[in-house]
Amino acid sequence: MNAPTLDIRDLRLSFAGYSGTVDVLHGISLTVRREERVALVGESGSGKSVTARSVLGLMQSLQETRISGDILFEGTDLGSMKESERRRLRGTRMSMIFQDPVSSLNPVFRIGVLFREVLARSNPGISAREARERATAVLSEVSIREPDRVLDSYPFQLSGGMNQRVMIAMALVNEPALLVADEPGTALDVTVQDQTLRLMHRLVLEHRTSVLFISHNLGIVREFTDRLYVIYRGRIVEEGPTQAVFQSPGHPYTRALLAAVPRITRNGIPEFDADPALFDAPRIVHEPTGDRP
Amino acid sequence: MTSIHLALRSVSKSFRVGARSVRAVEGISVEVAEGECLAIVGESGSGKSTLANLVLGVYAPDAGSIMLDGATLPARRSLANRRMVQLVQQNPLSSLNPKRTVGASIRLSLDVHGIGKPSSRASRIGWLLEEVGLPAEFAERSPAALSGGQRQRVAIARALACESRLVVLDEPTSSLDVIVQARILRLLKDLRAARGLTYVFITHDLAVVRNVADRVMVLKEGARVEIGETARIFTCPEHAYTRGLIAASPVIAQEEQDLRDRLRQGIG
Ligand SMILES: Nc1ncnc2c1ncn2[C@@H]1O[C@H](COP(=O)(O)OP(=O)(O)OP(=O)(O)O)[C@@H](O)[C@H]1O
Ligand SMILES: Nc1ncnc2c1ncn2[C@@H]1O[C@H](COP(=O)(O)OP(=O)(O)OP(=O)(O)O)[C@@H](O)[C@H]1O
Ligand SMILES: [Mg+2]
Ligand SMILES: [Mg+2]
Repeated sequence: MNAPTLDIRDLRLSFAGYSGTVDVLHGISLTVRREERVALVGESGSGKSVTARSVLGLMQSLQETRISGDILFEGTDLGSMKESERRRLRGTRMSMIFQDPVSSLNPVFRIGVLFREVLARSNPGISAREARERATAVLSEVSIREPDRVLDSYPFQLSGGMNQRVMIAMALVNEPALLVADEPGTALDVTVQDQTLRLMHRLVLEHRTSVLFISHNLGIVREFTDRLYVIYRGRIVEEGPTQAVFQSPGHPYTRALLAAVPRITRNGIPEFDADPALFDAPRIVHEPTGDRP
Repeated sequence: MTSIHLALRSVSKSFRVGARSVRAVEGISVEVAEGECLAIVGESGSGKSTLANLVLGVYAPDAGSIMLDGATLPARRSLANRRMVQLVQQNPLSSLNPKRTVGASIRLSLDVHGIGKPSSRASRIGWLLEEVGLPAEFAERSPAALSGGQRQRVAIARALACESRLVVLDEPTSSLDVIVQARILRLLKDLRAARGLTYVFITHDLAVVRNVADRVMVLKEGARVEIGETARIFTCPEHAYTRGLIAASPVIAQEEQDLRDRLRQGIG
């Protein structure tokens, strides 16, 4: 099979609301090859999460969205699949780490129950004991120190970073072919972040997983990804090998972004520059288009 | 001498999970001066958000007391008590009512606390949204129609709307790109200077700590392991956790620094 793991072609997406139509994606094309780790970076509101959710087939069924373009997973067009087929892929062959972990974990179930459900998607016959063992093992891999307590807890009984790590563990446990990670480490400090990245890296090597990696942390993007797309106001404005883009950024937005990274001063502690020109740099507004009813 | 705005005296809080007891906060004492910014750092699960919720009165402490302006707060807070402190929650989606538009959420805070003239509230909402880098038209949107970073900024705007003198910020900029983050930090600094606000700022990002905090408190397993002036914490951290954090921060090569400097000059 030579088809890339993920191939997005001219993806366009808009939201229809009573104040008019908001065009959010204006023709996104991107590919993630086998075993490749690809970053998608861009300003807040530029369309990263919407792109990610489309890959998982989560935007297609929403009433207010208008979507066009093709999304091919391992050569098969998601648009040609039935909703039930797409659902079967989710959590097994492709999985996602959501930006907002708490609201993506079902609040009425304990983590242990949710975990077993995830495991049962790829192994329907899995016993409760087996599931618990597997869950315990992956939870320790994301530095959860009391896996038993966590499995017995409801999401609201866990801290922000604990929920985030539960979400990461669930996304990795079925060894997907494609992992979509949307801001996976926002609630984690550098040490734990490092550990989860190493875990993802191992997954890539051992199971030939491909990763679409969304992050505003450019240090991590640089360290973890092979290739980089920069999205700006719903359009891809720059693409290339990560190192090359970091060395000579072409688009003004990429330049502004790289320049704004906290700099290391004095004792090796990153510090922001108080450069006011940066604060008022590009700001996202998707202008409403179309008619108001 | 500046006066003490917020004081915690041996505050503890445990939770029950099934047959287990989880000690989230254990005997924490700290004083925050009027107009000060205290950063709280500590590993995931060390009790930072629990502490924030205790200050807000979401939970009552099992032991110890919490004082604002020298007066002990009751377990059940009055409306006047609640107006004294605002929280920006760690998870902005669950803190915003999904059924209300963003404008209505902010408006409700203004109404409840009787801030400004009713006739001026709409323009105030627009102004607040623009201050956090969002167009005023976003007031008409529901939280679900916003990106992660946009929601986080709405939560900040709503907390600032109430003009409480004490604001607790729980990872307020964690999902913002560096440009927006710098803008928000500047806004917080400006407001603090203009209104003399006191901040309790929870973050795992050392660059943010360095940028905003006067002092830093380090938590581990619910207890305070270190507290001191920001500069001191960075130059001679006492606790292993603090040292580990600083050691794990990325180091940038000189040539990259040079490139940044060139880029910056090009932008200005
Ligand atoms: N239901 C909706 N109706 C209208 N606009 C929407 C809706 N959902 C999202 N949007 C808009 O689409 C744009 C893209 O959102 P998306 O969540 O993809 O941003 P993002 O790049 O992930 O940003 P962040 O870094 O802040 O998470 C945003 O400007 C957002 O306001
Ligand atoms: N309502 C609750 N019920 C049971 N346990 C809880 C509850 N809230 C918090 N805990 C537990 O208390 C501990 C401290 O949680 P807290 O949310 O304060 O951590 P945190 O320092 O904010 O971590 P993070 O950086 O991950 O957000 C955790 O072990 C958590 O599981
Ligand atoms: Mg997003
Ligand atoms: Mg927390």
